[in-house]
Amino acid sequence: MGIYTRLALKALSLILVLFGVLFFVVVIFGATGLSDRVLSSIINEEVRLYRQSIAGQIHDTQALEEAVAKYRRELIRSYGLDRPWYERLPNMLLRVITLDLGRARLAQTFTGSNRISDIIMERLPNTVILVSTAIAINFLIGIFLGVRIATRPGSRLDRAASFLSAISYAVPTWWLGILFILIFAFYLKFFPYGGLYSSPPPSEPLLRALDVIWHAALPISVLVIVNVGLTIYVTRTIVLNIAQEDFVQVARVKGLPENLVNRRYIMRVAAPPILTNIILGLAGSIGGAILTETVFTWPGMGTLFFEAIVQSDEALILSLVYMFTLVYVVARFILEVLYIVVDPRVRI
Amino acid sequence: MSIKLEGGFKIFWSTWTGRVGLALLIILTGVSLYTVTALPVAEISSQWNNPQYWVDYPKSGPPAWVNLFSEKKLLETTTLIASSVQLSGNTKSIDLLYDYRADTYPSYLTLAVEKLRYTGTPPVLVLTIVRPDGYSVEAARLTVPPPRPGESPPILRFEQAPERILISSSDEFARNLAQLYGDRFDMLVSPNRILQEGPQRYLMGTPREDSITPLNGVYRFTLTAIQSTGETSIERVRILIGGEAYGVMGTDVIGRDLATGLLLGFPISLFIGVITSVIVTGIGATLGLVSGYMGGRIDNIIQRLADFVNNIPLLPILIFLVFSFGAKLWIIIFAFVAFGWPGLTIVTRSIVLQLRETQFIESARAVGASRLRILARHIFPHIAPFIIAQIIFFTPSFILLEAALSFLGLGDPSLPTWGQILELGFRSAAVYLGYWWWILPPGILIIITSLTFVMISLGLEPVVNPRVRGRTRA
Amino acid sequence: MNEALTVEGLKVYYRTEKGTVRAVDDVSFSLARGESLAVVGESGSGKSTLGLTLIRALPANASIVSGRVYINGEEILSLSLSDFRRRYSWRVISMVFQGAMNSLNPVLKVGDQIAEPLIYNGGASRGEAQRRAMDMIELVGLPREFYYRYPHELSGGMRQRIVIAMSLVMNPRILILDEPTSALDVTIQAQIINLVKDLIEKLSLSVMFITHDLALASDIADRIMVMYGGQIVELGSAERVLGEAPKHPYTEKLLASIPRLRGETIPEFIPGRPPDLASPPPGCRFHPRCPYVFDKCRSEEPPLFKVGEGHVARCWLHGE
Repeated sequence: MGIYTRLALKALSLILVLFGVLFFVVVIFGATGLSDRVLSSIINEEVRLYRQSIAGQIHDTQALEEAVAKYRRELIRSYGLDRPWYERLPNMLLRVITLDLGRARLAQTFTGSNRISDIIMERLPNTVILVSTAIAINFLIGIFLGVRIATRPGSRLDRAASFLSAISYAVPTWWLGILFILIFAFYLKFFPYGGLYSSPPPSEPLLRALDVIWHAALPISVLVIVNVGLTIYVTRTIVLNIAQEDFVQVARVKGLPENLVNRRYIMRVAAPPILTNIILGLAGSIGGAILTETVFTWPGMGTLFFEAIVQSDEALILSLVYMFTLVYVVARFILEVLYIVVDPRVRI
Repeated sequence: MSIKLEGGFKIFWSTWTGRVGLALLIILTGVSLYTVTALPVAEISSQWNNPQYWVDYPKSGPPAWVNLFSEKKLLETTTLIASSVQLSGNTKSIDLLYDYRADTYPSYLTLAVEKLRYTGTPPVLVLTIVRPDGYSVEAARLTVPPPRPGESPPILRFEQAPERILISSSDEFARNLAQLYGDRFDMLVSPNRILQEGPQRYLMGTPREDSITPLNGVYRFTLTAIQSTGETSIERVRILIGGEAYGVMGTDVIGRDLATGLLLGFPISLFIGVITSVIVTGIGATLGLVSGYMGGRIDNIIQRLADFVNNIPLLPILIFLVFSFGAKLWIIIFAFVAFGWPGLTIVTRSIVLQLRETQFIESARAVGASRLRILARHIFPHIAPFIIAQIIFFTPSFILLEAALSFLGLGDPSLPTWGQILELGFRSAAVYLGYWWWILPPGILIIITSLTFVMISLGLEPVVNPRVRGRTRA
Repeated sequence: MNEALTVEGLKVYYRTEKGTVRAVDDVSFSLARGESLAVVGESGSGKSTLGLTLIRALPANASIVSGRVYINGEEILSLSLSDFRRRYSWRVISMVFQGAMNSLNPVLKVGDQIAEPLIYNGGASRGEAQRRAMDMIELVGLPREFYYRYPHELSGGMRQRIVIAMSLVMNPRILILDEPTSALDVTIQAQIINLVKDLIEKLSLSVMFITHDLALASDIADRIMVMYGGQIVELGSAERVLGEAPKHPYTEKLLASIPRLRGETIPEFIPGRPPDLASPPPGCRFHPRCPYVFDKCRSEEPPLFKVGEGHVARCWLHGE
C-alpha cells in the first residue's frame, strides 16, 4: 500500500461518515414530519410567486384560484409531498447535498437574498477564518510553550502549565466569551461587543482589514485561551517522552549540533502525535466555534445555527448540520494528509 | 479487595487536588441536599417560567449587598407583611412600619390583600401613610364586594388570588399628594405630573430648593376598616415596596430571584452530569469489554461502529437531535449517550486486549474457566478502578454540554439550570448592559462544579495508574 | 604507543532514590590496537555503564567520580563535552548502542542518518556524504538503495547492520558494541558476529564487545574481561580465560552454565542474585554465591592477582 492508497481509504471512510450523518439526519427529518413542513413552505413560496405572476393575466377570481390550486397540486406531486417521507428520501438527500432547500425564514445575506444556499455560502468563509486562525495560533503558542516547558520538567512553570490546562478543561468557552465582553467591551471599552465590522465599515482596505482584526480579537482570544492549556500540556508530555529516547542521545553522540537534534530528532518525531491530538480536538473546535460565534455575533455559520434554532427554521438547521459535518470531514481529511506526509511509518 | 480500597484512598488523599476536589464535592452535595429539602423545588421549577409568579420582584435588579460598596444606596425591595389581621371592635386598624434608608425611590408600591373574611356590612379598607415628618396622606381605598345571593357570613373574598392595588399608579393617590404638597409645602404640582414622575417620589421625598430629595425615616402604613359593622379578618396583608436591588444574587429580567435559580442548579447539574456519565461509561465499557475479549466479528463490528460515531462532530448533531425531538431532559441524556460511548469503548478494549494476553488469563482458560467467569473475576476487577475514574472524569463534559445546549436555547425549559439562566441573560442583552450579577455567578458555578470533578480525577490518577505514584507533583 | 584506549581507576556512580549506586567501581584496563576485547557480565555488572562512559553518553544522574581515560595519549574525560564531541566522539571512538531499533530516528531515512555526521561534523558536502553512506551500507552487506529506506521497513538484522554502518562512517579507531545481538535470532546473530569480525579485519578496528553471553564472547574476542558488581573480576586472553587455566570462581560458574549441544552434562546455574550496587556485600562481592568462600572472602576485598601471562583474577584463592 502506498501513500495514495491509504489516503484514498481515509477519504472513503470520511465520505462514508458524511453520508452516514446525512442519511441519519434526513431520516429523522422525515420521520418527525419536519421534512413535510419544509417542503410545504417551499411549495407555499412557489405558489405565492406563481399567483403573483399570473394574477396580471387572469382576472376572474374563480379561474385564478383554480389555476393556483392546480399548480399547487402539481407541485405537491412533483415534490412528493403526497407520498410517505421515506419514498422521498433519495430526493431529499440530493437536495441537502446541493443545499437546495429553499429559503430561510428570516435570515438574509448582506445583499438581501434569503435563499439558504446563498446565506450559507456567505457565512461559511467567516467561520473558516475564525476557526482556522484560532487553531493556528493555538498550535503555534501551544507548541512553542510546550517545548519550552519540556526542557524544564518538574519546574514551577511546568506545574503551573499542567494546572492551567486542567482548569481550562472546566471552563465553558462561551462563558469566557461573555466574561470578556463584560470586561473588555463593557467596562474597559477596548474592544467591540461583537460582529464583523463596525458600522459603517471603513472603506479603505487596510483600515477595513484592521477593523476586522479588531473585531476578531476577542473571539479568537477566547478560543485560544480555552484550548491552549491542553495543547501545551500534551506537547510537553510528548516532547519529554521523545527527548528520553535513545536515538536522541545517539544523535548527540554523533556530534550533531544541538539545534539540529532539536529540530530533526525531537520535533519532527513529535510532529505525528501532536498532529493526532489536533485531529482529536477538531470536533471540539467545531462545537466551540458555534458557541463562540453566537456570543460575539460573528456572522458565521455558528451564529446562523443559533438564529435558525431561535427561529425554528428547520430547513436552515438541516442545511447547517450537513455543512458542519462537511467542514469537519474536509478539515479532518486535510489533517490526515498532513499526518501521512509527516510520519513515514504509516505509509506501509 | 478491601485492602485495595483502603490503600487506594490513602493514595488519593495524599494528593492535594484529591483533597480539595473531595471537599468541594461534599460542599456541592450539601448545597444540593439543602436545596432539595429546604426549598419548595417542585413549585419553583414549575413556576420558574411563569412571569406572574415573579411579578412582585424588581426586574434586572442587582443583589442587595451592592449597597455596601456604593455611595448611592439603591433601594432594596422590601415586603411588609402582617398575617392574621383582625380588624374589629376598637382595633380597626393595623400598622406596618417601614424604615426608609436609600437614595433612590421605589419603583412601585403595591398593596396586596389575601383571603379576607367579614361579617356585617362590607368593609372599606383605607390605607393611610404617615411620613417621618408627621404628614399623612391617604394612599388607597379598597371597597370589599358585598355578599352575593346565597352567601352567608362570614363572607370570604380575595381567596383565589390576592387583591392587588398598584398604589403607585393610582390617580387618587396622586391627587392626595398634590393636595399635601399644596397645603403643607406651598408647592403647586399637578396630579398628572405626579403620576408621570411616580407618586412614590412625592410620597417619600421632601422638597429642597427646586427639587425633591428622598426623605429617609420611618413611614407608618395604616390599614383601617371603615363602615364595617361586624368583624373583618384578613389572612395576609402585604405592602410591597419595589426597589432596584433584591436578595442575595439579584434578579433577572422577568424578576426571578437568581439566588433561588442558582441553588436549584446545584442538584440538577450534579444529577445530569453524574447520571449521564454513569450510563455512557457503563455502555461504553461493556461494549469495550465484549469487543476486546470476544474478538472476531463482534469486535470488528463494534470497532467500526465506534470509529464511525467518533468521527461525527458532536455539537451540530446534538443540536439537531434535540431540535427534532424536543428539548426534554431524557432526550438530551439519550443524545449524549448515543454519541458519547465510542471513546470509552476504544480505551477499554485496548486495556482488555492487553490483559487478555497475560499469563494468568491463559492459565484460567487452560484450567477450563468459562468466558463469563474469566470476564467477571479476572478482567473486570482490573478494569473497575479505571471505569470509576472515567465516570468521574467524564462528568464535567456532560455538565458543560448541557450548559452549552441550554445556552443555545435547547435546554429543557422546565429545569432552571445555570445554562438556562445564562441563555436568558444573553438573549436579554444582560451582557451589553453590564448586569454582572446575572452573568458571572452561573458561569463561576459551572466552572467550580466541573473543576471539582477534574480535581478528583487528578487525585485518582495515581490510584488508577500506579506508574504515576510517588510524584510530589499533584 | 600500542594502546588504542587506556582506562585508569574509573569510578562511575549513579544518584538514585535508593542511594548511590556504584555501577563502575575502580576499573582499569587497556585496549590494544586491532584487538577485540569482550566485556562479559550479568545485567547490573556495570558493563553498559562502562561503555557509556567511554563515549561520554551517561545519563544526567551519573557522575564520573574519579578515573582517567586515554585515547591516543590524550585524556578525554577532562575535555569539555563539546570538544570531545567535535574531535573524538564518532570520529575516533564510536558506539553501537543497545537496542538497534531505538538507535534510529523513525522518521528519517536510514541513509541520511548515516550521512549526517559527515555533513554536520565533518564538513562534507551532501553528495559526498551520501556516497560515503552508501559505501558503508554496502560494506555491511546491504544493497546501496537501502539508503532511502526507513527503519520500520527493515528487519531486525538489517537494522543492526545499518547501525553498525552508522557507527563506522567516520572511520573511528575504536568501536564499542553494547549487546548488538541480544534481540536477534540466533542465525542473524551469527551473521552479525561474522560481519563484525570481517570489519575488524578490514578496518583494523579496536573493538570492545559488551555482552552477557560468554559463548558469544568466545567467538569474537582476543581477550575477555569478566565484570561483576561493578568490578573487573577476571581479565586475560580468551584461551586462558575459557580454557583450563586457574580463574575466578564466577567465570568458572559462567562457563559451567553454558549449555552444550551434545553431552551428558546438565548446565549449572549460579545460585543467588547479583549484588545490590547501592550497598554491595563486604569483602569480596561474589562471596555470597561462591562455592569456595572462606573467612577472608567475607571481610576483605581481594585485589587483582596475577594468575598467568597477561591474566589476572580478583580472588583470594589466587594470592595473599
